[in-house]
Amino acid sequence: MQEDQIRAAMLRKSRAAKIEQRGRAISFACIALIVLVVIAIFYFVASKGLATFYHNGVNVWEFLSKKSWSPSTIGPHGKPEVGALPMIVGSFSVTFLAAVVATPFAIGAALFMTEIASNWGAKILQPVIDLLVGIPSVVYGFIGLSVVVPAIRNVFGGTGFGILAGTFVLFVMILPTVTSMTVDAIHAVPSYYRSASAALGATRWQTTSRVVLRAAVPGILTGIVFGMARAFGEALAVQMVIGNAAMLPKNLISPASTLTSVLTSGIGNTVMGSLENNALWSLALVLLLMSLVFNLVIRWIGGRGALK
Amino acid sequence: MNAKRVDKIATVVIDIIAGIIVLILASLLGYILVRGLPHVSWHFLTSPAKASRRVVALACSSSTPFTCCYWRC
Repeated sequence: MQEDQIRAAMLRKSRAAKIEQRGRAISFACIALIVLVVIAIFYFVASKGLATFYHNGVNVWEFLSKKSWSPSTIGPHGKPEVGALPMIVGSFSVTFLAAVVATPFAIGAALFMTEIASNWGAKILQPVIDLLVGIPSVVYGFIGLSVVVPAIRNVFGGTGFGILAGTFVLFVMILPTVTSMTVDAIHAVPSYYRSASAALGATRWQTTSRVVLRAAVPGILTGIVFGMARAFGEALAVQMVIGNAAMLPKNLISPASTLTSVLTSGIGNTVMGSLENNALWSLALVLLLMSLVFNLVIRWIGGRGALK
Repeated sequence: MNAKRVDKIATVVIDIIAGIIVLILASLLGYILVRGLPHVSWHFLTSPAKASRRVVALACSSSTPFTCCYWRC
């Protein structure tokens, strides 16, 4: 009799074990929900975006390489014009130019915060970078519209709208991202690397450029790609300064458009299920796939590891 | 050019870059405050939105027609 009671007490789950089980169930449910949401988003965008090619019979290659974009009107050869090349070129050019301009500034600021004035430099620049992150993108777009565009118009002529204005706005927007990730990468370099370099008689710049930056390359590249992913997906600020002309830009100051700017200005004016709508979803699919590529690149760089 | 000289030049260049970034933020904030602050008043914050016909026409003809719904046409 007593033995049975002890046996039952031993086999019964303890309170802690029950809490553990419940917590685990809740965690798994949350993860499952997130995975489900991601899969649902992918499925929705893919089914809508691929409908352009399956349902409306648009050639994938023509979609990616044709230059004229007017899905609502019938072109000369009796088919709607859905060539997304101008938007793809616009998106990639603002992204790459913004990254090219932002990288030297980000590395310079990070070096200032870590190597040159590590005590008070960080105290000044860290709040500056936090504030730059906090400014809403519509404010960047508004300042771009009222300051950058007129400035470009005065200096280079034309309307002022275009890839150059988009580059300037995106440069300020991705600068904090790239800078803070570069700072993290430089902080992760062991201090004995610097000590060893200094002991060999190297100056601060020799140490910085040949040892610290070299060791931090994977982290810095990850930061740059993060910044590019942000620039690629930015819609509002770019839309306000790029001119929104769906044609292949001839130069940096002629009006252009990006995938995101065409989406934001067009998606409210189309009917669900029509070709115009499906074509916009195809642009969204291109955006989604590109952000996937950026993620894979970040993982690939991270996996390469540091200096060996 | 010897190493010490290069070190000095690099330091100055990095200082200038940090200065430019601080300047960018200062001018952004300064621009917003100088242009916006004089217009912030109790009346501006509490009175309901009113739009003149001209503004409505402009808003409706811009690249995003659905913003039109937000205006009381």
